[in-house]
Amino acid sequence: MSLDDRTSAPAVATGRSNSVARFWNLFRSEIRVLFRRGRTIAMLAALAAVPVLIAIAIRLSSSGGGGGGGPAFLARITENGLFVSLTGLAVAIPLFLPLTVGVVAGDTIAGEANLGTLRYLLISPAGRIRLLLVKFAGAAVFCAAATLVIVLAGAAIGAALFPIGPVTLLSGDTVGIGDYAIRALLMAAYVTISMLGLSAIGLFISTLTTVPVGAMATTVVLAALAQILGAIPQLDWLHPFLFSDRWLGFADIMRQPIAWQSFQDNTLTQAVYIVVFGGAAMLRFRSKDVLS
Amino acid sequence: MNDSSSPRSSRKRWLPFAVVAPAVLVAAAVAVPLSAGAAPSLPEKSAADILASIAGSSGAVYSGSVSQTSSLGLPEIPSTGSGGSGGDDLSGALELLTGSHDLRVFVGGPERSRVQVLDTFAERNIIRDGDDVWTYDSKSNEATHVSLADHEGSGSDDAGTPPTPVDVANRLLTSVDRTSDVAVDENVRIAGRSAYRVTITPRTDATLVGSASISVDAETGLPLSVEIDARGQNDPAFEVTFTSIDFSAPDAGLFAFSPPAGATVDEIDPTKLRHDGSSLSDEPELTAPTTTGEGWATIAEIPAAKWAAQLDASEASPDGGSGPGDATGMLDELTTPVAGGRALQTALVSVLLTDDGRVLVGAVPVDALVAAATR
Repeated sequence: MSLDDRTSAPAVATGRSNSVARFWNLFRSEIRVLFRRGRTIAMLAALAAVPVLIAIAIRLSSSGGGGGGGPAFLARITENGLFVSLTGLAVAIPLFLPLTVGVVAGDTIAGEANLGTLRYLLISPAGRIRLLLVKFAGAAVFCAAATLVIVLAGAAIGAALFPIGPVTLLSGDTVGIGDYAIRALLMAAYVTISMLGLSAIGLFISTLTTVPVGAMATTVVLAALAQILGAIPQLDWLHPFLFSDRWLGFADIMRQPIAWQSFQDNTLTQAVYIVVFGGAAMLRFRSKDVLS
Repeated sequence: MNDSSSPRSSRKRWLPFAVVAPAVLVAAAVAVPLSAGAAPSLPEKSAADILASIAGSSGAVYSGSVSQTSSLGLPEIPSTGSGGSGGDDLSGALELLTGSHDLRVFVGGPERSRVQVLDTFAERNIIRDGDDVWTYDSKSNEATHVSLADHEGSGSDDAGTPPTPVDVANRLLTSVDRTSDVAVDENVRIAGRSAYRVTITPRTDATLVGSASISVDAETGLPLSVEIDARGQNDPAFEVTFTSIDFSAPDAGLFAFSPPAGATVDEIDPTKLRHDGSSLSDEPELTAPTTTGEGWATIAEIPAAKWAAQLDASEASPDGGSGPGDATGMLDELTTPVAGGRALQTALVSVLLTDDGRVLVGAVPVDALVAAATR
């Protein structure tokens, strides 16, 4: 927050604990509102359906497995149901996850403005930056929830329909289920972090408009645009700067030893996007005329 | 927290930020590699001493990341094709010659090493632990095993794994002779290490090779980067370089490979291969390729019943499919008709397949091959 740390220690201490408490109160109510909303629940259910549909389709089609082709890890599912989570993530990352994240992030400020509740949230004088932080934190929690839903639903349906056992990594080494569980959580963390840059972009766009659908659509279109640019080889100088460039790098967790480089690079990229678009959102929002 | 400003002044406030922020990003992205590339100062050494120090690095243990890029002027072959065997070897080898790859290298001594080619959602491995050599391809879930127990030589001449900087430098050293100028360049910093850089320039104009550079770690003598430049091309035609390296012994468990359950394991016995009909020493065609020219402009000529037979075999393989893996189709796509045959011209190497079945190869322009073929 924008408090000066060094001037008067006791006053700041009480001021900070006060503002932290206010942040938590607002955050709790934001999370409650977000996850009680029918739309959020429907989106999480749709995300859970991704691995479930994949698993059922493979189970029904044949037990022989279909050679190469198809999304990543698909051919391994019949051998080990735990791979359903990974296929689910690989399928959801390009479209479904950005779609849901775009809806949540685009709705953050514009949704409140559209409902006419924004000005009530801003009654407290220092409330604007705090409201943005709370909104971003809420979107981040949704990213984590969405990713975990895919991983857990995939593991559950995979265990129900296919045999599970020690997992073969991309490097050909085999690890136990405990080791795999840690890696699955790391991959969920990776994908969650991957979506934070897009959340910050959505938050910024959301401060520009009072029409939430416009902010959502713009965010989703930007996610698609970034991936299209990322698929054009002639623009490879641009690729490292795209927030979507390392989205598929979560598979590096499945190497032996884990290739941490992409985790670091991805986190750095997303952090830069959060700082840039979060900062832009703050600059925009703190001087915005709130009329509704 | 000024809540009472007009929309116009608010736009003024955040618009510059939106412009400045990306500019800062770009500047940072450019400045970071630049500052890392400032030339370090090292005690002076002659080119011969630097190249000789490479030999002292054979016992080094390290793990590192390697990036390899080629721009040979070949069309890009997607690495995401279906992973088959047999006829795919050709496209697999060609795939490594196009585009760029990220690798990880683990070396735990002269006879323990592991190289990983990191593909998207896939990985190719070659693991050597003493006499056992394993390869594993996660895309096809196939492993091969070669035991070198009573087989002399490296034997691991696998086309599926690109060479490490050490391999390439060693190969390059054999061509350093009186045909080349060898010079010590400005020192470089590679993967956080200070390194000497030696540039080898062919004296003749007849070759496609413009120059070749090796960067050698000042402390250990390990080649950290190899770059081959082609004449008339700005980007290096071939470059393999460490992006990070750690000179501590890798985990020994990395070299103890056993194929995963469910993988297809292909056991190759090198001793049997020798008594086989297809063994190399029995092939009269390959006994002595005739060479013309000398040094960098050497042209090798192979009376090539051998390659024709190989092409026929891969054409007849059940692999089928007229995709990029199809050897003959790809050959037609890659080569262009010239007088007396078909030629493949890359930035560094030209290949001429004559109509009467000979193959001419050399680091020279196609014209020189055509001239040599009619001689």
